[in-house]
Amino acid sequence: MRIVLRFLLIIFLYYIIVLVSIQEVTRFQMTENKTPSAAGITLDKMIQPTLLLLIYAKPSHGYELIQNFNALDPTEIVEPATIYRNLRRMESEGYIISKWKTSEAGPARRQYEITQQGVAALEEAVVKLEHQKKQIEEFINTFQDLKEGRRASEK
Amino acid sequence: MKSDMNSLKILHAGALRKPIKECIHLLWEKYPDLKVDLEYAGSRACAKAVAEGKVVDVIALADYKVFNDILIPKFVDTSFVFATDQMVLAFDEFAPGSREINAQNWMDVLLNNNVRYARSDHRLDPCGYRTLILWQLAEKYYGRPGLYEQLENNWSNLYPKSIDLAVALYEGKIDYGFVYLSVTIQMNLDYVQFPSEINLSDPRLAGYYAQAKVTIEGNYPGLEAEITGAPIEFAVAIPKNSNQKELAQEFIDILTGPAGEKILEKNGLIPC
Repeated sequence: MRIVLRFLLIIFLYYIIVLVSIQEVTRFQMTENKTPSAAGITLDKMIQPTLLLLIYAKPSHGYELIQNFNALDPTEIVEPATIYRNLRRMESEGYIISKWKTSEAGPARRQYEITQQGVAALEEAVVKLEHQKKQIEEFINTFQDLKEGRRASEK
Repeated sequence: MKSDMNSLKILHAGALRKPIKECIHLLWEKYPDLKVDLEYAGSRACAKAVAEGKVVDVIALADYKVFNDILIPKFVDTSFVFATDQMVLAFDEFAPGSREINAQNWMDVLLNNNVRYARSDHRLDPCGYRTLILWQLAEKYYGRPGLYEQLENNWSNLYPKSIDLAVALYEGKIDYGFVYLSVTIQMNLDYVQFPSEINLSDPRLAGYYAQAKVTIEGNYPGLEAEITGAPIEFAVAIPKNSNQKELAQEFIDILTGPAGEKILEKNGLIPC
């Protein structure tokens, strides 16, 4: 029985190592190796995909985007300065464009719209997120199976 | 382009002095012989001067609401929001309590009898009414009833604009002062950063900030105006009576474009 458990533990550890390696490679590809279509927004903390998704839903200005921004991790506060910097970065890289928009009562603010390149980046982000989602599901399922197997062997 | 290139008149909030100057240097790369008249004051004082007939080509203020209150629609059509900031408590490194002050105990340090702290004039300068708003919010946030009144009754100096306060701090004339983070970065001052619930930096807390209100004298004698707490937003505009509208627009394009964004960021402002 102990041999079986050791075997399962080795498989589990090996799986974790492979998973972490894949994550690292994926992260490197996302940040460093942009595809020819330049669809390469960073998925770090989901800030850029979330902003792109909000702009895809409705052209918005930074003030509004900050108000509607829900961080992936609810315990983490994404500073307004971080959001404004990401907007400027995505604009300089061609994923969004801005123009001055005057509201009825307020001042003119820079309003952002998504570009074709931005839509492509969003689509690529979704593919990567689907892949990550599958990896996470596999991880959870493997762990649950191992846990149940361990319980059964202890009985 | 108009033929009269002799002078571009810019009137701006004192807190914007350094970034505005740096943007003028970029304009000079294109027009080396351009004469620029640069004046600064508290934002409300700037707006009142234009409303009283002062002719300028660009006006840049620390609060877009000053445009709405005093200049739009008679003197200005629209203002353009270009930067944000946050309130901080700047201090002299030799000030009493400077070694132990933090975001939790700052009010106790200030209310010590040996300490000289200052704010700018809320009637002239947005940093002044933002300080009063911050004190009201601090009373709620820290659960300290009466804190606003204590702080308002014990300041030692009042300055027409936040940049004067920062200079006084730099010269050691006061120990502590409520200013913008950008000003402390430009002058390399030490500072205490407040929680976002009171520092007026976060649009997500706009509703929370709006609980605080300050009354100031209105645009006509005997009238009062109410200022409601809101996230800090700097804005710029070209007055209707500008004689250099195209050149003024070129300046604004620099200020709000990629080069201006780098200058603003370097000077502690958040381009937006």
